[in-house]
Amino acid sequence: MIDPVPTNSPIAVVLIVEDEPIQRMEMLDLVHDAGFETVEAWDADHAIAILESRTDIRVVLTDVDMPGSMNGMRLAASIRRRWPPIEIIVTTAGRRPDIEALPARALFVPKPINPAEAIRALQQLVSEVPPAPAA
Amino acid sequence: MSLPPRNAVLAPYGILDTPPEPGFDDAVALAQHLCDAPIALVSLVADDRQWFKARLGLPDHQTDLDRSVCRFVVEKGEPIVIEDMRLDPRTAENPLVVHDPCVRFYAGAPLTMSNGDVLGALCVLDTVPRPGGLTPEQQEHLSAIARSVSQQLDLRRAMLVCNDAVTARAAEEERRHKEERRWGDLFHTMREAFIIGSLVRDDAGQAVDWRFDEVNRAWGDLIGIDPLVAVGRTVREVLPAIDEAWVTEPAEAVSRGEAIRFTREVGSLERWYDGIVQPTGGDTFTILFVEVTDRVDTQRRFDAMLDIADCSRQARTVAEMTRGIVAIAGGALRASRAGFGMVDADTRQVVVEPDWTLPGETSIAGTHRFEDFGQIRDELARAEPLVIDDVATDPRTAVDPGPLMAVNVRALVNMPVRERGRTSAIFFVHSATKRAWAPDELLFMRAVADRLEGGVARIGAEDQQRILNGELSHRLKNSLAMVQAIASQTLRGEDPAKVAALLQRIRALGTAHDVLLGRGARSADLKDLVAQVLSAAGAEGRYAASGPMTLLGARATLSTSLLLHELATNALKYGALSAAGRVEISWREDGDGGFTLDWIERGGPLVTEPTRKGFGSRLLSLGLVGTGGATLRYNPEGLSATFSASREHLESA
Repeated sequence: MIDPVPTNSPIAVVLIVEDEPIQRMEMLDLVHDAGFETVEAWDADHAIAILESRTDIRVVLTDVDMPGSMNGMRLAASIRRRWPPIEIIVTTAGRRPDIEALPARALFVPKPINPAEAIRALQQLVSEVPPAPAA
Repeated sequence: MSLPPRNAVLAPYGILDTPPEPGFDDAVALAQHLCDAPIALVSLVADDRQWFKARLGLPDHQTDLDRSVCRFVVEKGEPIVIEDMRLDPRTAENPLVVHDPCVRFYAGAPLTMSNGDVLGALCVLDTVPRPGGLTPEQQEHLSAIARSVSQQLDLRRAMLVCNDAVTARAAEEERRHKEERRWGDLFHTMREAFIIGSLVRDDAGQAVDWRFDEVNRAWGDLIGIDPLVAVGRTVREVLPAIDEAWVTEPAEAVSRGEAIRFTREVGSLERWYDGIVQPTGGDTFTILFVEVTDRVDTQRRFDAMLDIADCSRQARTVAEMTRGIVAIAGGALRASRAGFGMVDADTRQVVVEPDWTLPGETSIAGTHRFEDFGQIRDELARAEPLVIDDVATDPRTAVDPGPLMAVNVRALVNMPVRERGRTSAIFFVHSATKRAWAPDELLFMRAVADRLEGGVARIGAEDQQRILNGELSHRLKNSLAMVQAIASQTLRGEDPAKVAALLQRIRALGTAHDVLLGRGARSADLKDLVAQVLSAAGAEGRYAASGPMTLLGARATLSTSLLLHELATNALKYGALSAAGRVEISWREDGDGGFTLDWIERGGPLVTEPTRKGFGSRLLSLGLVGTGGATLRYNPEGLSATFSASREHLESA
């Protein structure tokens, strides 16, 4: 069995972006129970603010349909542009997004979330060596 | 002894029963005089009588054969002289001897023809016996006159033969003349074009062209060229732009020595012809053909309608459909431009979508006001077609045809595409030249507009349905996500296995909805359902599924997905998939409207029947559609389950 936690960081921090509070609570528990540290945001603007304020976020798990100035797909795109090393998981109860619509390396899990699948995705992303920052 | 069929011998001379002729009359006169006899005859011996072509001293012009002495001359083929007929057994009882005129002497010379036939005799008779017969001179004279008569007869025969031949030839010529006139008339009055031609070869002997030796009027009418201009010239000279096959086909027919049939366009004339090239010996040939442009056009429109139907069925967007349909229709109508445009509510302007044009014509895609082109909106406002054969003369556009001419429109049709009786769009067809739109063409355009109408409505409805389905699916799964979150939060601290089982079942329902909504919420393909449920349960790649295409109704989709989910999670927890085993899923249609699905696990741990009957077991026992029909066999080598249901239950919504 491989160690899910990379050696360069004792515990990976996951930012969970979900407008619906009960679902957000459930996702926080799920990710926390899997051994990650969690941070929450209720919409994209909130998430951006958090990302701008701290540098230890390793993965963002975001819903697509959210109120505010941008939805989860736009959030994902802007994270990839502004913070290229951060890994992204997109989830929605709506249509599965086209693979081209997702940023590079981003993963998709459908709702209702299958906990095992979500954790597998998280572990896969944090176990990979983070790409070198773009020149 | 019987005579040969005498009439047959005589027939070619055409002499019997003919009027007296001086040549024969002179002969008997000469014989009478030279032999100094009262009676002289040219007697022709037929089958049943002797007939006198010329006679002197005897009133009858013929006698029966009993009275004939000449027949003996004919039999012998030599002269006969009977000095006293009373004493000769051949003539003693002859009525002419016994009764009046009581003849006694006979001398006859045969009439022998050049071919050996003996027709009769030249004879003299006397009423007194002549002991010693004729003098040698008289005998000689009689034979000479007989030869002369024979020559006359020979000549007569030759003349008759010759006359017959002349008559026959004249008749033949008359017949041929009539026939030629008839064929000639036919050649010029037939509706089919007819060409008599001959190949033109280059120095190397290669056929490179052909010459019109003769063409009929129909050819001129069909092709639209004066036949007099064509004859003597070659096809390349007369029709320089003609399709190469028209030039090469006669050469091919001549070289193969057999007729070739064709259906082909004279591209420069835009007309179609059906015909046959027939080699007629040497380098000559004939071409017979009729114009079939109407038939070809009809066929072309028919084919186009099929393509249009496909296009309107398959297109996913209105733009894709209209672009496809106008291109097919424009081609079939041999138009210069065709397109589709949405019309505003008061029929004042049209927004033309990307249109179809012949190469070189400009697109008119974009927004246009009808009134800029003339009085052309009234018909559309009444949802009727606007048909203009020539924009320069039609009163609706003739005032200023400039704007239409500027985009190379000389004739046009605007066919309304209606929505609830109102013109919501137009299908238009343009021609760069004047054009009398045929009723068939207008019917075709009406049908195309109807198709566009139906297609637009269908795509609109489907778009709405798709949006609705997507929305429905989204909300439903969001609700399930909420239920999952609530259940999970509520049951925190409970047995994690039980909570996981609940959450998994909730997700299995979500999967079923996914499959359903992917097919318009009415039915789901069992194969898709199996794949989605098993992969959602985490059994991807560890099973084999096979069976005929089976559509499940909405209810059966939900119950079957829960059943499959239960089987899959059990297999992963306790069965074949908890070890290195596999699952085989197969289904089939049975007779009498039945349906059976088998779930067979292999290669797992030793299996025993579970003792506790939980919700999972009860779900399984409900079967595919909730009405039972489940048989579960916990064989040591693995679970083997069979589920039966009626197809009616499975398929009904």
